[in-house]
Amino acid sequence: MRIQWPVLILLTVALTACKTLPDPAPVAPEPAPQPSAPTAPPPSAPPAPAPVATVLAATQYEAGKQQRLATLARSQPEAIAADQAGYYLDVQQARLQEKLAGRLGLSREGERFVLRLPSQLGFATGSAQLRDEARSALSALAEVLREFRPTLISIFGHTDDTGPAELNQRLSEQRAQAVAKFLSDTGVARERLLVVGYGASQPVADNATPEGRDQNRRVELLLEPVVRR
Amino acid sequence: MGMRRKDKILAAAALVTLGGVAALLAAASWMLWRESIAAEQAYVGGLASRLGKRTEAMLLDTRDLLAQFNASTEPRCSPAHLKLMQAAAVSRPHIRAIGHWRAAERLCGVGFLQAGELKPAKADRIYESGLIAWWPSAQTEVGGVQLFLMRLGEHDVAIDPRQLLDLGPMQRRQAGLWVEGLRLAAVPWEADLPAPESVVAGVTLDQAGERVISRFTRNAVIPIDVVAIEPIGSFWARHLRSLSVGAAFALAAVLAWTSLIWRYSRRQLSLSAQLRAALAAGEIQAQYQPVVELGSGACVGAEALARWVREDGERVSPDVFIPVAEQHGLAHEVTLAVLRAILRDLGELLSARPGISINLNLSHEDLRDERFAQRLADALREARLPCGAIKLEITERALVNSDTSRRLIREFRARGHQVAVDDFGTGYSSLSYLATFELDVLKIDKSFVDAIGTGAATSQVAVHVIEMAKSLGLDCVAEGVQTAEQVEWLRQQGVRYGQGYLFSRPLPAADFIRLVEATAG
Repeated sequence: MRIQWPVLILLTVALTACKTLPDPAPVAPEPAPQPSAPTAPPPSAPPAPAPVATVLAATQYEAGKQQRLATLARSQPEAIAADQAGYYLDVQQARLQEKLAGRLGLSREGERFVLRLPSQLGFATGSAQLRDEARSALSALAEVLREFRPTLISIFGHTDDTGPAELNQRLSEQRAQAVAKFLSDTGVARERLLVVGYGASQPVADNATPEGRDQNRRVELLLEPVVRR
Repeated sequence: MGMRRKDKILAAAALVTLGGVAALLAAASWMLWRESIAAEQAYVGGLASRLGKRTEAMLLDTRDLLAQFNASTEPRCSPAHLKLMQAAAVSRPHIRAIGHWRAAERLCGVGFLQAGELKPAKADRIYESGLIAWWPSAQTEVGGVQLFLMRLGEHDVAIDPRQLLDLGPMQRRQAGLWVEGLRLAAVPWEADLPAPESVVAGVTLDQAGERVISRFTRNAVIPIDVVAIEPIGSFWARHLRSLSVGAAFALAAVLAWTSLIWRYSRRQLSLSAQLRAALAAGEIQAQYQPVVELGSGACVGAEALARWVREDGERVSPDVFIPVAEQHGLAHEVTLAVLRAILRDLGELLSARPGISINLNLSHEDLRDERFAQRLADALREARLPCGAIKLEITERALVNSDTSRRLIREFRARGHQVAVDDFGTGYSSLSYLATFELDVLKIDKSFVDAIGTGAATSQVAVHVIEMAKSLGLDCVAEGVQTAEQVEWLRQQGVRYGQGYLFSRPLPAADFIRLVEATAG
């Protein structure tokens, strides 16, 4: 059930106006590990769970990522020797191609992989809930990520341009978090996950059309090997 | 034999022989080359086909093996799992190792790659299906052997590609096997072979490199190319046997050709052929022996005698070439040649002096059909001379007892020609036989004239001959008059005309004209 923004605002205003009621909760991603239909938000929303993965601001992403890579290289025994990085990436590419079988958009850019949840697997307007097909594709990805442990996964959330920027920012983060949580729940270590929200600042299609907006509501993943230097 | 003609003919013969030999050898060589190329094509084509099939089978088998391992339910690295991999490896001589991996770590496996793992830095092919392959190179080298690696999922296989190429039938060839455009194997391993895309399909000759290059492609499931090179020397050595056989045949053909040319040349050098050529070239001319009236000594005409002077000046006697002409059916042509000579040489004289006539000797060929009669008429008409200018001489032997000859003679006379019977007395004619022909003149053969005054039996015959002529109303001309006594005797017998050395030997046209001008009134 889609949540209507105007209704929510009224509700929030109404609730805050009535002090007898507990604080209204902001819209939270449904903690639904099983692939069931999304349920309507309960009248009293529970407090939002702690973020699964580290959330970085867009401006701090690069620095934060390098730091995390260095940390993992030191701490993870499976970190790759520099001269084996080529082999690792080639084999990982083969594995991704085999397992994903085209469900996620996969491209290799030198020493990294870029994956995209396509618009069919994307989110509804204002929603940060994963669709079933998205879950299915992501669980295949999780399988590969469990095998290829020395890999850092950066997850980027995006929205279309409906609504205020601040809301979009938060929504994009929530979307990324949804993916991160799913991966984490299926066995990917949390330290390997980084989350960044870009709001509506990086559209890939024209927001004027419904199809364009569909495409803009998305999540992208960046996979990078953890190399011991 | 004239030197120049003979030389020309021999030179031509030699040239033709050489040309024929060259052509035969060229043809033989070309055929041999084609055959060698065809044999090479068949061989390398067959080789490529076999190699291609074997390689394809190996690649598909390996892929199936990997899928099979991945699908196995055995716990990984358990004895059962190892046994599975081992069975596959041992039964395939080209497999050197099978490994079980997780990401970039080899957890366990079988084969010769236990100590240290191969992790080449760059894969050559990564397929959509997840199959990944590394072609043989320095980065896949172990113990000096460059291996071919294939991985699918959690298992990989290391293959020795040298097992794919036969060493035996290679002989002195060097060959390479390419799969998907990348070189998989070669024998010898380091052979310097051109890449398939730079070589034309089939068998070609590389002149610069002095080698024969073959390339064949198989495109069934996976693109496979085979390229083989061989030094030209060994290519020819292999085909030496067929070359020798071919050369022997060529030699036999050459000998046959040469003998053919030789026989043809000899025929050409024969006299009849030369005569034919001479007639065509206008070498047959005439000389004129004056016929003189015995009483006055005035020249009343001449007998045209055929002369053959070759271009080098050598003369061939009529005694030689006339019989040859008659034997080879050229007599008619000779007569015509003499006629043309008469009209050309003496046409003017004959127009100016109607009292002069020239005797033309006819052969029996000329009396056989209308041809000669027609041509004689045409020639005279063209020269605008009356028929009386030409007298026709026919030897007694040529007076064939046929209706055609009698008719022709009648026609000649009707036109205005006088007809003489030549060499009379040497044949078997009787008076009555002679009477059946309409003649004008009788020429007494030289032998009778010679006998005059000698008391030989022939001298009596001469008298009878003269009598016969008189009784038939024929004028007499004595041939071969040499002495004044003969002239005297002949005159007493009533012979009016004579010709012979006493008066003049046969003269060239210019001299004869001068003689006529001098003696005529």
